[in-house]
Amino acid sequence: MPLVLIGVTLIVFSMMQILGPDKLLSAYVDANKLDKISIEEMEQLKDKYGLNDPLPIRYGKWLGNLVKGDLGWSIVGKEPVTQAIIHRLPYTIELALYALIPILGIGIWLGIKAAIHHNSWIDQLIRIFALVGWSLPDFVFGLVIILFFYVGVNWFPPQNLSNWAETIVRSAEYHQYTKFLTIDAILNLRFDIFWDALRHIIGPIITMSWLWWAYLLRITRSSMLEVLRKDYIRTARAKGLAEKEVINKHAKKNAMIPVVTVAGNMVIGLFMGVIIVESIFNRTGIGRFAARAAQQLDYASIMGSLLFSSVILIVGNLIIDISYALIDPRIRLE
Amino acid sequence: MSDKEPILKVKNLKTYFKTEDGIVKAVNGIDFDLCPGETLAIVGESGSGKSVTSLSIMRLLDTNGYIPEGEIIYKGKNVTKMSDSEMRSVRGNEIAMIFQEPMTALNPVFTIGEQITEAITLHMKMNEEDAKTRAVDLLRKVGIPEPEKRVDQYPHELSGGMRQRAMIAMALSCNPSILIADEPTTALDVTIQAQILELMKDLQKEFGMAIIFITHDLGVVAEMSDRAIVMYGGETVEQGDIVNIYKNPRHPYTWGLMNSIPRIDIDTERLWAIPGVVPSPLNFPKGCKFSNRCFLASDKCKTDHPGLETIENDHFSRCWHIDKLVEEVKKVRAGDK
Amino acid sequence: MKKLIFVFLVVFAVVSVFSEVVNPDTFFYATIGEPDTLDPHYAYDTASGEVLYNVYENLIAYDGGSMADFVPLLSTAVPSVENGYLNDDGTVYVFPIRKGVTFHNGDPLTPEDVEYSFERALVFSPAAGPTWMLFEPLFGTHDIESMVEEYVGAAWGDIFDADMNPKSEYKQALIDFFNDVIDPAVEVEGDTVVFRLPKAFGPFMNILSQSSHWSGILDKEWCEGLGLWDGNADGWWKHHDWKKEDSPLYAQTNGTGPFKLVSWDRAQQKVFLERNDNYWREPAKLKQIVIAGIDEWSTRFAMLQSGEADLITTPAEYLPQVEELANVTVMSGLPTVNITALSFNWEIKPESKYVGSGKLDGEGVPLNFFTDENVRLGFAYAFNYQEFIDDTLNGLGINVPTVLPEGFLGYDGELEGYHLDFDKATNYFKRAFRGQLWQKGFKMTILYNTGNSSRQRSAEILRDNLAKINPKFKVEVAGVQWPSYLDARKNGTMPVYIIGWLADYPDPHNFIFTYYHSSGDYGKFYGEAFDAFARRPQPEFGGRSLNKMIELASVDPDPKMRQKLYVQIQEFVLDHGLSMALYQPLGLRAQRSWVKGYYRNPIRPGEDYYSLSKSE
Repeated sequence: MPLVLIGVTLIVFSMMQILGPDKLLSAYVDANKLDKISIEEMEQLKDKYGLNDPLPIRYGKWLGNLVKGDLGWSIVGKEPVTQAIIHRLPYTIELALYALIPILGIGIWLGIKAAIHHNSWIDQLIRIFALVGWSLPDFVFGLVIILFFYVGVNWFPPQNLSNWAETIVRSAEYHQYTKFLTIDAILNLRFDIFWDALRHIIGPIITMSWLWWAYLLRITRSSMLEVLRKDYIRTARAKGLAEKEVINKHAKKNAMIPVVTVAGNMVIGLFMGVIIVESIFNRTGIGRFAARAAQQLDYASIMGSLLFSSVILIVGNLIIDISYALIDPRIRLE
Repeated sequence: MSDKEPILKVKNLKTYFKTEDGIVKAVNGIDFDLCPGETLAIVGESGSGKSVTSLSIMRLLDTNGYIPEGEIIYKGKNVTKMSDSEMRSVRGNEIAMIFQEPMTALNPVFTIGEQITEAITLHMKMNEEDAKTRAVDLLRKVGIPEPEKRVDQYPHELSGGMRQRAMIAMALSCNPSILIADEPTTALDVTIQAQILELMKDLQKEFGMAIIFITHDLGVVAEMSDRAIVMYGGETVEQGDIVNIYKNPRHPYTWGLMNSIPRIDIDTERLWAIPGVVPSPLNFPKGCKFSNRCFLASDKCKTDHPGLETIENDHFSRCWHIDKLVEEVKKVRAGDK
Repeated sequence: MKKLIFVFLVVFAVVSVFSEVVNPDTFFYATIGEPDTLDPHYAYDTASGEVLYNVYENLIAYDGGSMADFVPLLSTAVPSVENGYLNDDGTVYVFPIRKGVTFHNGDPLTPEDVEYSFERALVFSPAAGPTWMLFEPLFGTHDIESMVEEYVGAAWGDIFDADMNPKSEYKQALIDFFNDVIDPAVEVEGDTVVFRLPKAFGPFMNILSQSSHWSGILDKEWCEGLGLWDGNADGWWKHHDWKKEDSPLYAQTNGTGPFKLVSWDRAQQKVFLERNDNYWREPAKLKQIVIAGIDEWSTRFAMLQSGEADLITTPAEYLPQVEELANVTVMSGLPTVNITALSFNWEIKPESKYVGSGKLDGEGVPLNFFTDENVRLGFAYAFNYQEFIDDTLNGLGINVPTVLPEGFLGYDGELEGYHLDFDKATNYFKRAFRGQLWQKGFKMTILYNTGNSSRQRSAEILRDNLAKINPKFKVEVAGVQWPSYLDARKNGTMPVYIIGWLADYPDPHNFIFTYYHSSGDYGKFYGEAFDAFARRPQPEFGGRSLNKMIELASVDPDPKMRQKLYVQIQEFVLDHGLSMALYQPLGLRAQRSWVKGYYRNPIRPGEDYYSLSKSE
């Protein structure tokens, strides 16, 4: 794992270095300030931030600092990179955890339904549903949700919390034990804040859902159809089992194997941060952070986000592999 | 046939399938009886309708299959008219089935034990613990060594032969009256084949169930069965006591099947084979379905569909030229000596 | 399953209706971006400026919406010749410091705090910061390093070793430098603070006034406690030019203003301010201010509609959308203090990728293309200023004649600026390069930074008109990422610059010097040829050079005289095509109708929350 991380970070670092110190300078010069900065000042900034040093020295410094736990200063986050990531992490994780269950649950359920009622009108309906979900760009859908469910009825507002809730959360009497808005609300016995936080999460979840349901249900459906054709399903029926049990017990488990891949990737993506939903609903998150870092060539933040994403990816894949082994005994290493 | 009352009576069974190209008449009117403790073989090439017959008995047809005509009477009740829940209490319990591919017929994600106990707890009023004990017993009975260990293993951890034994254990777990074995040894190698057949005979002695043995292999038939039905094109072409059929084959198809087995005591340069292949179910010739492959076919065969003729007590054949065949058989057998 | 969803939705609807709390004490401003730093001597952007404006206070402030009249704030008097606090030369300013004022942490305001604040600004003076505006009036220089080099007689890099410690031979000189040069500029005398200037400087009061956050007053003890400079001569160099993030003032404040900073949540891009109940004047009406950076226009718009946001940043193109809203007050045509202009690079660097062949052969432009006045004037008449304003700014702009905003001293509405005139342009182009340009044509690239749609549009309009004038005039418009744009700008490879300037303080000097003096921040980019031009004696100026005229206009104590001089300068600029002022944008403001107390002052960064309140 460390080797992979070094490799990835080195490659990205080098790509940025190729741009040259003048282009890298842009991270330190705000677009609005450009018009007021002199050439001498630009040179001074380059020296100050070590942009003129060659690649090995810059990378070496970064690596050296990394070992000490110092990822450098985040320009877009306006705080040290490690802090920037830690502060944004709870929001991303909270959204991911709440999104996981409805997205996975409903997506897979739809796929199984479609497979069981293969070629019937239920199947057709579900497949059309999937097609629309695929085709609908999520930023459009997100804006539609805000238009219909926020402006008039105030069901799913943007941001992380309403203003009044925000004020209470920041006050001295309120204890932020976990930095998860919903959990802290419960721990502080403020159920109104719990509701408020939940309302703010639902909009983003719905926006992300449709597309993911489309993917999940397709793969579940085709996997399920394949499994239903298998001999052991016939054996199960031959034993006299009810169709419901045949599907729920015998078919489902086998059908889940390819689904785990898709679902796993989706979960990994959720934990890396979902930039579009974060932007439209103005939620704090790692996705936006990483995207802004890339846009502004904030190399410290880029490298930090990269490390973070790589770790998530590696851990996520590990979990996927373990899931395979749990489901399918043929894959177990013993 | 023994003088006991038949446990299964199949009367004029027809099983059709709706396909895009038309209706496929997979089984087009077969009749037979099965007595308790008896072994009946159903012989034929693929496409003859032998598997479909057994699936019809179990009512495990695909969604596009249906039984337009015919009766299947099991212990006095008409299977074709049973409700779903009634049928489910028959399956696995009264009539059990084992399949051809032991590799794929067991669910890879559950242990052998789980799959056997599932059948037991479903049909017999037993708790999990007792069911598992019974499962271990069954595994021992079917000759699997170290059954306590094997019961917790997964199918992929067992060899093909062992898997088939486990399937047999599973099928017999609820003491069925009839065991339908659809080509159970075809996918196994010859030595294992012999073992399994041996096992089945022993089990039949012990448990007393009737067996319907579906196969295309005449050697197996000879070993296992009391009676046989030869099927072609969804119909019975010859039916009767196994000894009679072997001694006195009365249908060119049966004769062809017998001759296409290599024999160690006859020296030939080429194996005798039935010419042509089984036509697609939509393309059977008019008249006798075997006519386009039969060495005795005449013009009559091509236009008139022969009925089932009684040759002797309980020995039937569907052919216009039985006498010609008798002569041919005599000739060839004489030449053998 | 479906039942569950239904129940959920119903509960939702009920709860939602009751969970929205209307809060008259909190003001929510949804804007773009966020502060850069809250160190007043480092910050140079309006977002930071807004927070600093509300949290720190200066010696004097503008009188309401005026950009020329002042009222006392932390000082008790606005120095003038009449009241004696300003001497006749205009070189000594005396500010009596108000008593009874406390900082947010309870420390009392003293004249020492004032002296410290300015001296720290001079000592700290980070690169690319705003403190140059203090150096100009106080010393006539631009930064401390050049002053030290002159005083000590050695290059900055030679004075210090690798760890930024002074070499022993220079240490005393550095201490002396501080005592002799820096310290006397700002001194405490009794209850007052005295500023001594080498010569009169017209805009000095603007530079000190509230809205110029670099002149905000810090609490000396508090700063020392944070590890900042202790005010002593010995060791001042250690506190010079720190990295932005290293300054302890980066995210914390301690001012005397009507609001305190409660928190700057950088993860959520939100600034939270709270009313200072111990403010030396009547406490503010609003209790809590939230300034949130929300980049997505649709989201901001939705929040204004729902009432969750009281005020949102509204780019001109969205004027029609906000006009349709009920319960929203829209003010358009608000005066501003910035101008976007196109300037010419008189000496394009040879490695430029934007000059085609680099020769006058129809496939490029020669590197000295814009030294020819006819070319410049041809360009000036080839732009459709009004169309651009109507098109891209929804009409919210003024076609100003030169780079001097309307409302400033020196502005003359009678001056005839440029307008689209094909005939004039044609004539000039035909004369350019002795007729060769017209025959051969040219090819060049105009850049804009991707995302900046007004710059893009201006370039396109110019391109299209030039092509209409003569099809051999081929301009390519290219959008490049911000880093490349910055790079090209810095390295002098762009043939023309379409750039804007936002006033630092509302005095013509801030614009005229920047754009037209060869040492100005922009003037510097035009190359040596321009430098030579700007120094040359001109008949229109009675023998003075352009540079000299600009310098004179900045220091003349008589506003009427300044007006006259600036008008002369502008006429010269127009005659010689030194710049194309594209537009002065007009502001657009969309706020909920319950917001009261707003007054416009174009130089103020952001909102003056002290004056705002919410009521139906």
